[in-house]
Amino acid sequence: MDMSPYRNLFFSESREHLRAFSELIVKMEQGVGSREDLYALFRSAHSLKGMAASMGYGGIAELSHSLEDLLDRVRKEELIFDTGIADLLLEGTDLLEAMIADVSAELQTARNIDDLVQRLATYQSVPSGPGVKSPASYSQSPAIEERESHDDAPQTVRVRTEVLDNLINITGELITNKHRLLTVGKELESTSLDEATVELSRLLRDLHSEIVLVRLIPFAAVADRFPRVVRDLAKKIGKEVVFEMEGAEIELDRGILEGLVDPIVHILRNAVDHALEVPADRNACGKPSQGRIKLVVSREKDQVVVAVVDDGRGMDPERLVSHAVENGFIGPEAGRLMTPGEAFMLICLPGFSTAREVGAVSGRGVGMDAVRSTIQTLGGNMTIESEPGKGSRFILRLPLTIAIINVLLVRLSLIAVAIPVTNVQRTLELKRSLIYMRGKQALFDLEGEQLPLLSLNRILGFPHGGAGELLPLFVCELKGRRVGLVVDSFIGQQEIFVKPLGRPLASMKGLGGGAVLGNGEVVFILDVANLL
Amino acid sequence: MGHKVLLVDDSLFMRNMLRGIFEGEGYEIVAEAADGVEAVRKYRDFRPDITTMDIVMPAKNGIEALREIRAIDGNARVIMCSAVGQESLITAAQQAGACDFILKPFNTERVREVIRRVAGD
Amino acid sequence: MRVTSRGFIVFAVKGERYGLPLQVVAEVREPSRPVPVPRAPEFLCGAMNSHGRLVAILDLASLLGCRKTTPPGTFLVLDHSTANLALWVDGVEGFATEEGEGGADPPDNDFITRVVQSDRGAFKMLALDNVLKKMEEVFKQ
Repeated sequence: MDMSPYRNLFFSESREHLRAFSELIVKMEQGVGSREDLYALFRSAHSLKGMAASMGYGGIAELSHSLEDLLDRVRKEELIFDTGIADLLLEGTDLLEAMIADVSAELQTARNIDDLVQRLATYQSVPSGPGVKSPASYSQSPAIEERESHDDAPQTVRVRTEVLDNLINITGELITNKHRLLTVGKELESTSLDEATVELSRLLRDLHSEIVLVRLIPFAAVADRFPRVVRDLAKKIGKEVVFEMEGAEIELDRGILEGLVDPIVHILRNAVDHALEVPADRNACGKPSQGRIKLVVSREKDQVVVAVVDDGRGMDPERLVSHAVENGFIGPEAGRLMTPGEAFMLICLPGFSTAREVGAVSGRGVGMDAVRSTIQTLGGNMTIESEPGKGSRFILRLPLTIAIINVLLVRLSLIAVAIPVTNVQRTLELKRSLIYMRGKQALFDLEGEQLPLLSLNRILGFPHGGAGELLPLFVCELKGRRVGLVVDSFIGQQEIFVKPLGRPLASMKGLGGGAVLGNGEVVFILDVANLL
Repeated sequence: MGHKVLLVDDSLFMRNMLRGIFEGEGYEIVAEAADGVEAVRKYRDFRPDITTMDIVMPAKNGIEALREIRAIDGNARVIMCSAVGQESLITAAQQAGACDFILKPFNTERVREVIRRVAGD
Repeated sequence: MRVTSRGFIVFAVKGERYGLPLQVVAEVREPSRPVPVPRAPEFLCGAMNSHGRLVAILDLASLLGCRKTTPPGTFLVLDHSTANLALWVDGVEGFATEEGEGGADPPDNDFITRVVQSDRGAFKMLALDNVLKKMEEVFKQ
């Protein structure tokens, strides 16, 4: 039988099984799993075996079979679910994941499963003793039959993620094309075309909001790996951690959600590694030996807030500031003026925590510069709160959905660029004769205020633009100061569909995103706050 | 020909494979179910001529679902599908009224043979 | 893990042969006129719209310290999971398979991981991650 039509489904479904598998194993090991969770583990291994065998993937089927057998022994109460079992099952999960990745990439790799299969088959529980957790018991859950029936379950379909990406891309292009129609309508002075375009606008808005909804997926879709990250690292470095998650049902755009995984993993690892004290130190300051890390997801208006909260040693803003001053990251004056919130953000400076003599600061900021820049690329921001001795809170705020924003389009000497209208205080055309100089700085008066006049071409490294009698400019705030930015001409205001820049352009200072206009022209959206 | 079929399996992958085989034989898939509870409900709603039933499933296993379906319709024709290693369940399923058995991984020929026999074609 | 077969794409930059694993290259295409990028350093020749993605175009020769690539050349558009980046190179030679164990020592260059012996002869394997890191480092300044 030709199995190729079922290949993709095999990969997506088997990966779902493995994701659920890791999460359930950690749950069982921590003693909070129910009998139903144990059955679910068993069923996953069983299903995977059947699917792999049907596809002719013998190795995957064999390893799944061994996992299923071990779980069957637990189910029949011949074994208790202890740390040793959890380790073996997780090792099996990792190996299965690698094997599935191999066949998915059509790599012919020979992975040795015999050793693990052997250990799975011969596993015997180790009696409780030093270094071994007491066996996890599972709470008796109501009998399976009592579970609510699925009568109200909504009908669902699976959609490949590329299809979702294409849908939002096409909608974006449609919206830019609508602007093209608007322009044509104006040129032709055709009322009926205008009316049709207005109707089209309304429909496109509806379409866009529906597609945005389709792209929403719950945080839970990526959350299953987090308990594992915390568990594995804690185990490796000899710390005891209770990990909790809240709000996993909250939904956000899948593109944003996928981008969030690495930053969250990083913050969690830092929390286990650096924020939590070893059990002895915790006891010495009157804390329980088990540290707590909590991942809380919540929704605030059109933002999703992800907070990683620990009850570890916390950070002292004054020590961070003095460390920053001593190592030349900031001047002493700037240090004096820093609020605690700003001081905590110092750990996001590249190299901050690797500088010498870091003491209490040690390691807290490793890789945090990357975390912050990823969050910014996703259109979000990060803040840190902390109290020495009590713990820290890393707060990520992200947009709920992919953005369509209103921009002012301006033409410069080489290209057109877009400025979010929220950054534009006003536009005007200034007579040259109204410009005056103070030293080398050109100024002009606006509403009784003296504003510096800067050339946007020059700021962006482009050649000089046109030189008419009237200078088109817009007023915005740069580094807390109102300024006038001169452009070559105004194109107009319109809605554009923001495309994230990704690697490496997202790192370019002053760029906030990109877009493609109705005529196919590529424009960059300026990140006004970081323009200078 | 033209029999109505209900597919019960918690794996979409498995259901799609079975769908491929049945549709290739000219049968009509009237419904699919991913667990035992859904299977019983869909059986009541659609009254299929043939049902294929996985055994290891969430919410209600295939043997219990089979018993309930036979209670609704004493003539229900249900083919049990099970992976290697579950042979002990075969007797239980036969006692509960299963017409026939297919072992996973599916051997297409064997599946066709069982279907034709159960359908009486 | 032992990988028994691996495919590479081999391309030329200023007379030198470089390669990348096939799976990181999404498309080989004719060069199009790039859109200038604000504040672009010399090695960044611009950006373009590639199937709805905004892709930066890197003049590889310029980054590797040679003179700029001479037109027309070819664009190697990388897979989106790797980066939103296209490499502007002199030309693509073809596909190659590794032969034997890559014994040669890694060259003294951050942008090269190792020298690969293939059925098309030896080529330098591009250290894509270091290339991206270098670009990002310069962009942030």
